[in-house]
Amino acid sequence: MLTQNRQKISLAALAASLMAVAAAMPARADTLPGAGLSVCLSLDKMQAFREGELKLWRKAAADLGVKLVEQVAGEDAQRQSSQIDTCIAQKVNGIVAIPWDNQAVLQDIERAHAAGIPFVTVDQVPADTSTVDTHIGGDPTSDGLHAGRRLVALVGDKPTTVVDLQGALSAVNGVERDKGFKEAIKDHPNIKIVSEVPTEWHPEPVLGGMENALQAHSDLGAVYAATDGFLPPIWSALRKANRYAQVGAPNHVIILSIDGDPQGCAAVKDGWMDAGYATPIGEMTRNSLQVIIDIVKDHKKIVDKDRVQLLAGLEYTKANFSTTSDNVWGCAK
Amino acid sequence: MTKSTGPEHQLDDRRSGPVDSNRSRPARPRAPGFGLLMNIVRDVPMLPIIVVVSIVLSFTIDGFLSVGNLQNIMRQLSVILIAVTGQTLVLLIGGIDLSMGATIGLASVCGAFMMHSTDSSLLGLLACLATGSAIGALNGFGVARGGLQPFIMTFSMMLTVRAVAFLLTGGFSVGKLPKALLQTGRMNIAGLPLVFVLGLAVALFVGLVLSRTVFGEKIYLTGSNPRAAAFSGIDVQRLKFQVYLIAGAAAGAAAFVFMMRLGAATPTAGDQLLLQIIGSVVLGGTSLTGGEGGIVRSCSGAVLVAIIIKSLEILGAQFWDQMIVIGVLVALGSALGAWLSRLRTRESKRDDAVELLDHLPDASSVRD
Repeated sequence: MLTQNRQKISLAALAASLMAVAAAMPARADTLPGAGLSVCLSLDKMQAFREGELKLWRKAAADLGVKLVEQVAGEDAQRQSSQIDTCIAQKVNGIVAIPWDNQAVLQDIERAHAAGIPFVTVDQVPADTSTVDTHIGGDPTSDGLHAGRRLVALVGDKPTTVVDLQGALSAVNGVERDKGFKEAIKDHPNIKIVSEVPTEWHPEPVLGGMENALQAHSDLGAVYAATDGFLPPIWSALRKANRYAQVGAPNHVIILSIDGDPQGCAAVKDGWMDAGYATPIGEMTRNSLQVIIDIVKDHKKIVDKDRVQLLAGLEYTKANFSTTSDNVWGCAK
Repeated sequence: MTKSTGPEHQLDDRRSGPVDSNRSRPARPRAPGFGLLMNIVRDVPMLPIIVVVSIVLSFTIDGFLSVGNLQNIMRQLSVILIAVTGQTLVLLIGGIDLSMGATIGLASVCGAFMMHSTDSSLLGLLACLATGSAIGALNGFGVARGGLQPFIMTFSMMLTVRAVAFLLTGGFSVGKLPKALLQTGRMNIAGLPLVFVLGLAVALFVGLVLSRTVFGEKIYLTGSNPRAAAFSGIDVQRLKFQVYLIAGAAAGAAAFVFMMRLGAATPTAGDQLLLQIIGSVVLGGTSLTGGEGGIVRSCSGAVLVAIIIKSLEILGAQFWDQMIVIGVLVALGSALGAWLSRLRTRESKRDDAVELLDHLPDASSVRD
């Protein structure tokens, strides 16, 4: 009897061990949902934000078992079109692109569809979303709106001068982030934009724009930045004007910025920035690959209501940092 | 116009044209076909390299010689082929056109606006050509009549033209072009993309003008020695004006093909094109100092760049890696071009010396 019990216990222990080992082992590549699929990833350019996106795309591809074919267009519509042609010739299973030119990409989408390849755009919306299988992006208007509302809440009725550091005015994200911000402050006459700096997403014009604004308005109250990439030149200009101070200090200039990259995360955590708006790029990158898998493997038909997915950014401040930072991509270890 | 047989033929020494077979040369034992190969290397230095690179790539890259890949390379070449013809003419007279990329951008925008309001591709083409020609004429006027340095004139034009394109569009690209234009842009003729055939036709036409007409001879002479050109009766200022005008028109034509290919016009169209255009021309062996080079050379440079870029793309190299390779290639190509140029000059001097000796009275007969 004792021997039988011992045998049962041993068998149960062995089974439990095997199950534990199986659970601990990484899933076999060929059982992953995207196994055997190759997806062409065509990025418009490479900068800090895109590097963050690329890392998450690689992670999502590894999790889903998809093989990524990466291409970077270097801010050139012709090059992007040529790279997409190469991907089509290589007979990839799907194309995910951040278009550099929202009109020119329509031709690329048409050529891909003619070859039976699904096409998903991310981040930069194409001129006609009905042509694409799915577009997944942030919600730039909502991000700008939230930043504006945060500024209103922070300054109350206090007269406040603001520098508006815009993104590219030829890109929807740049235009809409600006529009949302202005919409939120339009009924608050005490908040006055004293300088608008178009930057084309490049940090170089930021320094000059900030220096000029600080020279003309030494009592500058706030800075709204369309991307975290502008933070170093903002701080540089503030240091020069003796206005570089942490949140809560009397000399502090309110800073609000969009993206949620590592600089933005550190700035909020350490008290150098009042609020950030993290684009949910983890979700965006994963969803883009999942859509391709759904279309190719499960033959899912995309219905119009699912064609455009706009994901609002997450507001993170020092006060809510402990609860939000896990969802800010730039805070990831 | 027919080719001159006058004193302008002295130019043959300085350019890449066929070597005069009537000239006496020191007899050198050479393997059969060696002379032909050397002539090809001298005239189109990139051609043997293109052949070797293509053979290597066809064995190393899967699908390099596939119809799809070759058509992609041709499509990629279509805009560049037209643009390099204009840039080559400008470089041959010792100038440079830095505004060419920006001109392509603005001309494409004007052409797109015209097509929007008329739905006529023909009027769109005319708008592109008119815009390009107008900018070329301004460049030509500034350089030829205003006496401005080509670099300064075309650089300031580049900034202005780019700004105008942004003002007109707000930075956005212009789409919704006539369907007929987009369909034509995707057409193939005997397996060759139509846009490539157009590019090739323009390059052939300009190449013929350059090599078979008095106008072409004048360009070479002006580029090699403007003072000698003026002494031989060439209106150098007028010629410079004409060349910049043609370069502008070529940029306009390139803008139209750009729209056929991409289905959109964009103010930033030419930002990346300019370096590719100048790189192709220089790599092909056209001299930046003027007077030496030609359309075939520039086109061969463009073909080599396109092949390398496409191959690197297939191999998964990123665009910055591609730029490094192209940068090294342009440097090596220029060095090769300079070496061949020195070689030609040396051979030319030697031929002249031999010719002189042939005409001198024989020393022994003098003694007798």
